[in-house]
Amino acid sequence: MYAVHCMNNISPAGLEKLYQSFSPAKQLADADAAIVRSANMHEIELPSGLLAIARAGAGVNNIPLERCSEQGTVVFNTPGANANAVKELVVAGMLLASRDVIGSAEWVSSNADDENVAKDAEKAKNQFGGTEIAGKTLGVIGLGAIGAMVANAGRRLGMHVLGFDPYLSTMAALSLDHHVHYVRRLADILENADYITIHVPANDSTRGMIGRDQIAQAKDGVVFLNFARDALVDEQAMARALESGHVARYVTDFANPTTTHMKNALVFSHLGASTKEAEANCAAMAVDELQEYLLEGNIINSVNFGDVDLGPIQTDERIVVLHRNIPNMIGQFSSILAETGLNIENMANKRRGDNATTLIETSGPWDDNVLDRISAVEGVFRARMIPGHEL
Amino acid sequence: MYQVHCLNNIAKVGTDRLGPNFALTDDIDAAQAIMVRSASLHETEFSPNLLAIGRAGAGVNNIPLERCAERGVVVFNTPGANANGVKEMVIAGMLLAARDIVGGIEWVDENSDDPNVGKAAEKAKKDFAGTELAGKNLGVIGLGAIGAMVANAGRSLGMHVYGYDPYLSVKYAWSLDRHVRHVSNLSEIWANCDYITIHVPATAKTKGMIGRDEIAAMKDGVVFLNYARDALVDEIAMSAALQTGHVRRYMTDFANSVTTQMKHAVVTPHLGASTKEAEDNCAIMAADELRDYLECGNISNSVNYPEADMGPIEGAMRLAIFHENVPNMIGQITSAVSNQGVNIENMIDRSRGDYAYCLLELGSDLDDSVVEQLSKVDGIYRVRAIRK
Repeated sequence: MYAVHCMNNISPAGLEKLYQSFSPAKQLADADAAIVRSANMHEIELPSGLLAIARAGAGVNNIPLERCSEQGTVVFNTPGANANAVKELVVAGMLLASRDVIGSAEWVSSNADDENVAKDAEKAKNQFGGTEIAGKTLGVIGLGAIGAMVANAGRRLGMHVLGFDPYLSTMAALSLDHHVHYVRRLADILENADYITIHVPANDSTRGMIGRDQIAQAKDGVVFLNFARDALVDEQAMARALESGHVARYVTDFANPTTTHMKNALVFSHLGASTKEAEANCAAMAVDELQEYLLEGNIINSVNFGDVDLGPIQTDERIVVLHRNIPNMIGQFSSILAETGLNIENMANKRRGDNATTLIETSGPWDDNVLDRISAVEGVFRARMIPGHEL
Repeated sequence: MYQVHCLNNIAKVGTDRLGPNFALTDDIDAAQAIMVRSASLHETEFSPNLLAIGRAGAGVNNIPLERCAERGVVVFNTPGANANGVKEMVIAGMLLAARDIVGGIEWVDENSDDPNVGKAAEKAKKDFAGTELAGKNLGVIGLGAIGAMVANAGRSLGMHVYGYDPYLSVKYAWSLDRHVRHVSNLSEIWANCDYITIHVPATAKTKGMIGRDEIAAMKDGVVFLNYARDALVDEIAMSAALQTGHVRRYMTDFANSVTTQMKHAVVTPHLGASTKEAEDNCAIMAADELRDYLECGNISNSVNYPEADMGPIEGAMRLAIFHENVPNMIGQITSAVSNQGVNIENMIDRSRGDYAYCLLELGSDLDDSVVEQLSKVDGIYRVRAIRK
């Protein structure tokens, strides 16, 4: 049985699930795998035998990815586990941007001791009134797990919804409400939407993607929502657009010295995934990922190696090879297997960035030297064999 | 030409719909109709010209209904025109109760000058974390225009929805998502629901309907939302339940000396209908009601007279008669008409409490002297002759 160490407390439901398949490791040094939430692992020594780290959550800034890759430790995260939590916060953000509910509640608090507060409220409330979201146009940039849920929620609240995602997956497409209008250009969103919400990862091609020109293209009085990553938006340009009133409101989950000083911004305290349900989903998903990887060799939602999924093991054994994404690796693996007399029944190979995963199912007489020979190939980080088992 | 006086600012999209037979006037005494939002009419002397009052909104506390009824002045309101405005407020209320978004925003405001506010937020945020709406049970008390929309919205956010309304109309039953579970006993709401929202009018029967016993029967940690009327809830009992934590949050749109002092309450200053769309819808609906009444004698959404709808005038003229709800009125009215040899082609007579409305469509024109004579009959408040 594999031993798993929890770096943070994880939800009871996740814990129960975890120990159905694994034993607890008190210390990381004794663990085959680790589950972590926000604990910082950059300064921690990682045992060489550590096969996997599962992050119960989306961001992996607290994990030394490079070091993990080099020693063949697969790092997983749990994208989509917090999707509903984020979706509900986006809906709240739209509603709070439409009517000044927050300002009005503050007004009541500061007039709590006024005997005629009810009457005075009728006069004061004019300044807090606003508009409705039904009938307005919502633009959703990025239709992954979160964006698709947000788009559907917009439809169900009576909005017209435009969706933009050049990399739309089949699964996300299947889940989308049929009345979400799929557009091919970001400009279609910018020119038509009254509310624009962004749900893409932050990488070199998306950083600052909402810049001065994009903001200028948006409709006057647009509401912009950012519950994804602060780096997606050029915040200096946003601050100016808020100042001029071109952008009516910026609702963001990211507090920093720029956003906290913006006019007409609603800055949340990074609450997107802060629900009990999201925590439980993340923990359950992290445990599922560890089970798949440790027991079957399948990699689902890794951030440092390619995702491969051959389902349950069908043959005598399965070999998992984590290696650099360089030429002639598969050739070398297959020669070694052929020389040993092992037949390849199934194989999958997938790269991610500089690294790749190769999964090989073999049949024939097993020889332990195979793993040593594959591990010795230049560019291989780790090779592991999982014996076939009763289904 | 009908003259209309607006006591408050009425959205132009509304007054524009009155049509070519109407003009706006600054002289309230010259007006056949008044359009009003929240201005009080309790101290206003009504001129004999006044036929109708259109309240752009739902509540009619600002209008002397009895006095209007006795003079044959029909008072209209606009139920449902603000339904979506309130629905969106209820959703916001549920989301603000589920996670302490307000507290989080206040925290950010207080720490806006901290250069490491982003890092600090990661530590502070657990104080504001909470739960999700999806998968929870929502109880909706009252399934009228607003309640039905709220129930459907709950469904579309992934909630299990229980609806209670002993007077559920066909119209709203039809509009309800078929997964809304209709319960016939409030105790089913108390026993099952994590969020409870109330959408009924305040009447002698509903006042205080959420009292100590009802609150005690609710689940521990329930969130209660009141965007209908403060009088529906026994606020002293609610305060006590918030104090003990039995009720986790009270979200109310009614600020008063009790609610503002409550622990764990989020109190908004009556913003439910404060949207441009709701104002426009109310103005449009009030204008449509006044126009249909003044031009055709049809009454829809009156709060002091019954519904009466004959569609557009097809005969020579219509006679609209407001009378006391007592015996032998219809006999006197119809004989006065038939004595003149005029045929009644269509007739509606309906009552509402002490008051009744009789609408007659006549085959030929009736002399004004007969109209005059009818209006003097004991028990008749007013007679209007409406010609095409």
